[in-house]
Amino acid sequence: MKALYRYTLSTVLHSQRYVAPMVFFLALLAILTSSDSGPLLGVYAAAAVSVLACATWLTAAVVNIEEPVGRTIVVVNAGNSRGPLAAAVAVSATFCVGMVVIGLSYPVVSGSHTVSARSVLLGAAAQLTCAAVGIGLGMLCSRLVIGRPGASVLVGLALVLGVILAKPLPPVYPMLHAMTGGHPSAGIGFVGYAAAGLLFLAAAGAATQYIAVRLD
Amino acid sequence: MLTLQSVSKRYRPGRPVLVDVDFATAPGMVQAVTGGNGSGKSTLLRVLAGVSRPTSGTRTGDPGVIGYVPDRFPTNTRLSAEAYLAHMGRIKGLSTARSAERATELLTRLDLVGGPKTPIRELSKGNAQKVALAQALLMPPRLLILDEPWSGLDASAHGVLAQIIVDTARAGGAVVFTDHREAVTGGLATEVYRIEAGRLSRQALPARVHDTASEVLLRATRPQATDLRGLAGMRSLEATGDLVRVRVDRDRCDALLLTALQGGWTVDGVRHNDAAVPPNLLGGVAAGANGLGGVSGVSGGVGGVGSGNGVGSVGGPANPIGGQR
Repeated sequence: MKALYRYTLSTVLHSQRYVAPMVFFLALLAILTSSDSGPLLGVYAAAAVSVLACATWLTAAVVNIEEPVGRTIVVVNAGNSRGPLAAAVAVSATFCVGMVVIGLSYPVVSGSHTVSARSVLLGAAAQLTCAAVGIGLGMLCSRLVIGRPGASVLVGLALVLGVILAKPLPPVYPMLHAMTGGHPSAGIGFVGYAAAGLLFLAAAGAATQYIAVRLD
Repeated sequence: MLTLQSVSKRYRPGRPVLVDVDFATAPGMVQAVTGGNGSGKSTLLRVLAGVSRPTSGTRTGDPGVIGYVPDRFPTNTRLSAEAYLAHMGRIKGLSTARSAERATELLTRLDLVGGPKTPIRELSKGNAQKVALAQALLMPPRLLILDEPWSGLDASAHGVLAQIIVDTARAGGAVVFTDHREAVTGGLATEVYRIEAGRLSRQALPARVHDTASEVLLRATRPQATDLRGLAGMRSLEATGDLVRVRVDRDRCDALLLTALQGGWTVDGVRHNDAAVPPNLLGGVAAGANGLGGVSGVSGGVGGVGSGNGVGSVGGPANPIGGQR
């Protein structure tokens, strides 16, 4: 697994496919959070949306980085197709951790907020949950599932908007609603949102693997 | 050993790519699959490699380490050949040091032009194919799967590849390769299959020449010419001055010639005992000296040895077979 992670990370860094989603993340974060003086948790909700959108884009880019024939070689050398997918998820998660660190610190630096440990912890939980959901969505709109790049972009956009706006769909909408004034004190709820995010990530990974094996 | 039983593969509604294929690999076997474009050769290899799951039928058995060489290598890889092979070695379970050592060894053997530090995307098709071949051999494979491996390779690499196939089989590994040229498959394979519209059928082995011997007369062109002793298939070697007379298995002759030419030898003469020259080639061979001393004549694969003095080259003797059949 370590070897697959190193290979995938090296390929991503050489290809520079991470640059566009990371620049988009920084731009989105700056637009949504700069010079804000409202409650910090509300600003972190906007940062979490940025993380969600960019994690989706980044993960799709990481999974798609290998041409099908290159992926075949890696799968044969690894002995299975789960390892390379898991490595792509791990590399995407590494970039997402970077996004979360920026997403937590930039609003504090750029705006005027009362910073509390509780706000930072809840903000971190929310952004990491959004990262998990974004990675899951990225896998689902990658080449492993959707063969045509144009369709993949449209599906990615629809999925991101869907999870942000769909009220009955946990964990993103209820979590963002709670952060922006719904139930800011419900700390225990964030554990549930994080668990739901991880569950979604696992389900999306399993679905991607299932579909990829059948399409191969 | 790996067995496919009644394997069919269909990518989407429509014509199936493989239909009821039965196939089994075995240690020491070299199995060739021939067929036209789109006949299902690559899909069969992908199923064997475990990359593609059969729509129906079963793939059973654990062949151990698999080396897989696709018909083309990804062209967008920015990693250098050296770095790529180091990563692939580690993924296969080798240490970093051992991966680097094997990579250097293989790239030297395959004579990668451009150097190991050149990004793969900047390599020519043939050199990228050498990297593809090297990654499959980082760990000695128990099952070596090659999809049209000669495509893009230069003549010297052809001989090395043939040697690799033979060495893998002799070490107890199984080799399965595809090629659309039956003349190529016949020279190496112990079993030949043909695939048409997804249906696989066993073919009779072409007339083989592995039981016969060839004699090659070589002359050193430089003092440090490669020592040829111990090459696969060599039956005897007699040296007289700067001349060396080598007796070698007929099916190892081409590999010997390539090794010799690369190693500082020139070919003074070649004689094949089987003398299976296609009749249409005979008419194009003009008169010339017989350079193999008392051994006269040349046959089979004339076009493959263009640099020999006398009998080994087109433009040799009036009767190239020379009564040596």
